[in-house]
Amino acid sequence: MIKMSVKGPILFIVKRAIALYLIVVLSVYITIVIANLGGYVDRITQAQILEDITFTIKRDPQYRGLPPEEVDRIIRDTYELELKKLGLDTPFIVRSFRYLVNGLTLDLGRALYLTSDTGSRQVKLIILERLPQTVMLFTTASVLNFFIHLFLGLYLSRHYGGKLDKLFIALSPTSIVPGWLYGLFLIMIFASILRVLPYGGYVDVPPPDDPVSYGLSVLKHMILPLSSWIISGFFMGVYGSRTFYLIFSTEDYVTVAKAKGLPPRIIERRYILRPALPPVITSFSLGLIGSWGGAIITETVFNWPGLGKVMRDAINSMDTPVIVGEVIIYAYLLAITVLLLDILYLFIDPRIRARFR
Amino acid sequence: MRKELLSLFISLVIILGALMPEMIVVAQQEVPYGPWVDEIIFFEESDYGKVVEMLEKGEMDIFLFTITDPVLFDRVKKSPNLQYKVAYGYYNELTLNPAEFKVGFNPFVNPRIREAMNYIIDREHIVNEIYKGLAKPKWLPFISGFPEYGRIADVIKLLEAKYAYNFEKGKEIVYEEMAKMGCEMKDGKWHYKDEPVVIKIIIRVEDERRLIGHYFADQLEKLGFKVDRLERTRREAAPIIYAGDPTEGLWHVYTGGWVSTAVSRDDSDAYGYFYTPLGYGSFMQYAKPDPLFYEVASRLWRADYETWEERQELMAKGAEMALKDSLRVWIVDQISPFVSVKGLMGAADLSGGYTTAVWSRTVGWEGKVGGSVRAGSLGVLVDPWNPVAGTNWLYDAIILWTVNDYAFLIHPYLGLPMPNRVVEYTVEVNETGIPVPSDVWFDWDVKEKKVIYAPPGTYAKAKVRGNYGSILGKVKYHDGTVMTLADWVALWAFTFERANNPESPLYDESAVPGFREWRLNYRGFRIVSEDPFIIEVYTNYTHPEREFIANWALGWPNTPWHVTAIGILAEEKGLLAFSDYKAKKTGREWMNYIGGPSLSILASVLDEAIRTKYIPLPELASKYIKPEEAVARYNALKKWYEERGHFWVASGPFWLYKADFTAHQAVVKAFREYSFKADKFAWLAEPPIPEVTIVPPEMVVPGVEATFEIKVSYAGKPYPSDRIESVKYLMLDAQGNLLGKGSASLIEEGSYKVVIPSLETGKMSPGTYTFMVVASSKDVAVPAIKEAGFIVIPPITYFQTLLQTMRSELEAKISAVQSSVTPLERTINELQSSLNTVTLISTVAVIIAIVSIALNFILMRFRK
Repeated sequence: MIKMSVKGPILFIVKRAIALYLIVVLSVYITIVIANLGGYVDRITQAQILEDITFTIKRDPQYRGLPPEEVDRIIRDTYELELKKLGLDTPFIVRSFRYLVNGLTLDLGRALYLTSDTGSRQVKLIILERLPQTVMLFTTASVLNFFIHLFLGLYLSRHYGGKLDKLFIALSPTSIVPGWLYGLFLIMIFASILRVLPYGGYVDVPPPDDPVSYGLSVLKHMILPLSSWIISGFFMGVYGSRTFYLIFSTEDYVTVAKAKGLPPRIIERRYILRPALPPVITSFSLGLIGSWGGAIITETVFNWPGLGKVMRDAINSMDTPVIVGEVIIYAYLLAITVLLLDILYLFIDPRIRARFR
Repeated sequence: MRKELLSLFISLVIILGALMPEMIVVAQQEVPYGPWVDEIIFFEESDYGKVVEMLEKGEMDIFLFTITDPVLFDRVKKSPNLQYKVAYGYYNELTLNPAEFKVGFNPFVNPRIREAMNYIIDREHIVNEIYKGLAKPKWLPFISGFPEYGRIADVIKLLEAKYAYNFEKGKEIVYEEMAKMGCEMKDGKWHYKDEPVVIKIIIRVEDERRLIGHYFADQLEKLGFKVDRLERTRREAAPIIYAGDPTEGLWHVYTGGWVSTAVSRDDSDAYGYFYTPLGYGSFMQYAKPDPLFYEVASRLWRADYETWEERQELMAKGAEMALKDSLRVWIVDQISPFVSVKGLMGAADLSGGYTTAVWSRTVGWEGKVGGSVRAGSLGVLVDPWNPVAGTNWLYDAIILWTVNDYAFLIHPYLGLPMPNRVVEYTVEVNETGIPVPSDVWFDWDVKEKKVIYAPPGTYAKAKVRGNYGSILGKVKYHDGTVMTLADWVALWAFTFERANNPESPLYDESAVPGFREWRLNYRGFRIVSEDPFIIEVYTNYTHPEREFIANWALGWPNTPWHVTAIGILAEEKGLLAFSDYKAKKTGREWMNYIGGPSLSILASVLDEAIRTKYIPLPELASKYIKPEEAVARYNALKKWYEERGHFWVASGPFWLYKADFTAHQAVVKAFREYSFKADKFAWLAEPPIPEVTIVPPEMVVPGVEATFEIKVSYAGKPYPSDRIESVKYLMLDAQGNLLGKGSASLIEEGSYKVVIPSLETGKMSPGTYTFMVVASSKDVAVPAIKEAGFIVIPPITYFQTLLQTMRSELEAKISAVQSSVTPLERTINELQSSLNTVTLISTVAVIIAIVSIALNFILMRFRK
């Protein structure tokens, strides 16, 4: 066992934390600027607001009897109110820093146009109300994918060159097809032709009254989107894992272990899986974090109420606070995960520990 | 035997007794109170392919939005399980920039070139190739399914013929005008000051306008223009078109699109809005309409006409001048199909389709009472619901229309407000002023907290009297509470406190513009009678159609006062805000009566209201609400919330059963204590668009009177003449020139005729002609337009034909006589031979007789 000093790792962690935080700050500010097209979105939004208000008022027969200057005044007042409501009466540069500070302090503020599922304008609620559905579907898919790939990959690495191995190699390009495309096929087969599963949505129409039936109905609606994700990543994922473990199993120390006559189980556990652990954990953690962002197209195809659709709507309506909110939460989660992984590596990877002896 | 009969009778009585209640129930259920169906489930589906699939497979009963994809619509048409109704409301045009450019050349400053664009666009091609038949060609801003079109359809039809596709004619005008403007054609391309003329078209990419834009670009290239095709989204285009400087030369043409969400009755502002600086958009300030056209447009804009006929004359004049100006080149009226499964009835608005309040009041299954309807929508439960300043989304409005109720509803086929809760009303208009009585509620003194009555010398342009029937103490709200006078007047001051009292905790800046506009027109109201409930409203708002004035003036307390009161209390306490604007400004939650964080706040506020016997705005409301009544009402609401999980209590034919925000589904159930039965609007089930058949004369001869017969029917039966607005006709020659027009005269129910006098036919030269009939109904805005061809032949040909006919007739008669003579001859011959035989026999008989007599005589002599 290699002993390490305490000061070194702490300093390392602090430095990593600062670096990661700066990256978060920078990436969030870049997102703010991009989401606003450097302030151009303001011009677009203002033109749209003016167009909508003028059209509504000028074509409303109730206003036709009024003198033109009175109509213009009503248009102007309504327009200015709308600008104030959206905060567009403040210059973009000022707002961009306000967005940044609020975002970094997790005061995600209010959305410009979007509302949460329950009708709240709070960005926090917009995200939080969708997170459970996203986690339920995509995190489940990520976890299932991870374990399927892990065990099948290991199995194939043990039976390298076998028929099954060859089959997986041959079929691995099928994973190029995105999950949502498989989804469309699945809908066609199981919803349209066989009529055994729903076309999409979150729950039956109408939603069942008792919670158990409701939960079962949700599970039924998860089958197709979940399957589409599993099928999409299946062959490539297994093939990747198998190759990954194969690389580790051809290391010199594995050959030595084999030569020493150690049993295959021990070789697999101590000499293959253990050194492979850091990248496996990294991949699992990042996959998990990635799954919290949802998937825009899959959610749209299956009409699944997840965070991907929120992001799509936010981009479509140029709702900067929501875009920033999603990005900042994702950035924080990513930074925290990376930091935790760095800490974890200190314990599980002897090569890193060795740097702090 | 007697015993057996008695027992049979008793058995029958028992059986009937057992069945009677059920029979009575069935009979009662035939027309239930509230809607026909028991529930409607609204759910979200935005993938049109899936929508059609689900409809076909019975997973969805109706889709509330239009399906315009031609391929999907074809599937709908071919499906044995589906039916559809059509609506209008989307229309497209090309906007031509009228501004002179700072740099570069703009040919569209020239109105003749703009006018010529009408000739180079083959609208039929666009309809057939781009819209696959789901559109109608269009030349003017009036939607062909709406009343304004029908009113001047005769004029429009002529213009449509005049401006029909004629590329060569358009090209001729463009070449002539371009040369006049100093342009030269070099190597097949137009040049101005040695620079090629480049036309920049901003093409919207979201819909069929993309293809229209490219089609128009192709046509311009054929005319020798270099074209820059700039594909843009709405977001990208809006700042350039509407807010940008049109003289910068960033665009020449823009593929504009418009939508009308309700049948528009009065489009007299269209010329002003679309062709003159009265319209919106920076480029409109550069529009230079012909002074005469501007006068027509602005008079119509200001409603500056004495009579309806004068207005119609201006509209007709404007139509011709609009095409001469052509700042907008109109392309098509889209036909929007609204799809449902077969067997599902329900009125569809001619503009909004099923997105109308009348739909849920007429929806039902054929031959069945009750049942459930699964209605797909593009969105469900978007923004917060509250009774003061809640959601503005159409997706929410569709559901709200089912649970709320209104004094008036909009007629789905006419666009006119029609009474719903109002039983009857009268409207009195006097532009010079109607004196406002001194006991009407004119204003609210926000400082002194008291009603201000109309001061002496107050006048209004209109007085509306509305009778709601016997409603107080009878009309029920969803939570079981019963309407009282308090629901009408207790919160009257709230409008003023909210928009006119910056000191009030209820003050909301966003309510001010709307309040100002309302206040400019509102002159007061008073209650004339409580049973029946009659009110009088005085207003300065006027409109050519009295229904609109009544709709402006007469309201309905859809939300009972106690439901609004808890929102008022929450806002007073600074916990929630009715409007999105105030919510943002104060950092509070936007009040939502049906979900989200607002619910727990409203629940605690309700408890407080019960505890404190809260009466909102007590200076006025306490005159109408006693503390114990308030508590009873609040308790009813609390019970409702505990059972239903939301606070939406209203007076509509459905009540909100469930709002699932995660699944985006809403379930509304029939409110069987609703005041009206389901058949209240049954007469609106289908739009009674007239069907026209023309029977033209076989031929028309100059100088000879000609009669055209016209049949106007609906569903195979004659159209009632008292429901027909007009049956007009037009006569056009092969070139589309008008030869005559007028109105058909009624012969009998559903039958009309047009007699063209000999003087008129005498002016016609031989050839083919078109006879067009435009029949307009009083019950539906869509006019029926039918054409029939007829031939005019020269008089000589007519007489030749006449002689030929006479000769043929004579010859026929002769041959008929001949053919009848032959059997006569045969009969005579037969008679002759019979006679001969008879003669022979007679002769023989005579001879025999003579011989016998002679023999007798000889014998006698011999005996002697």
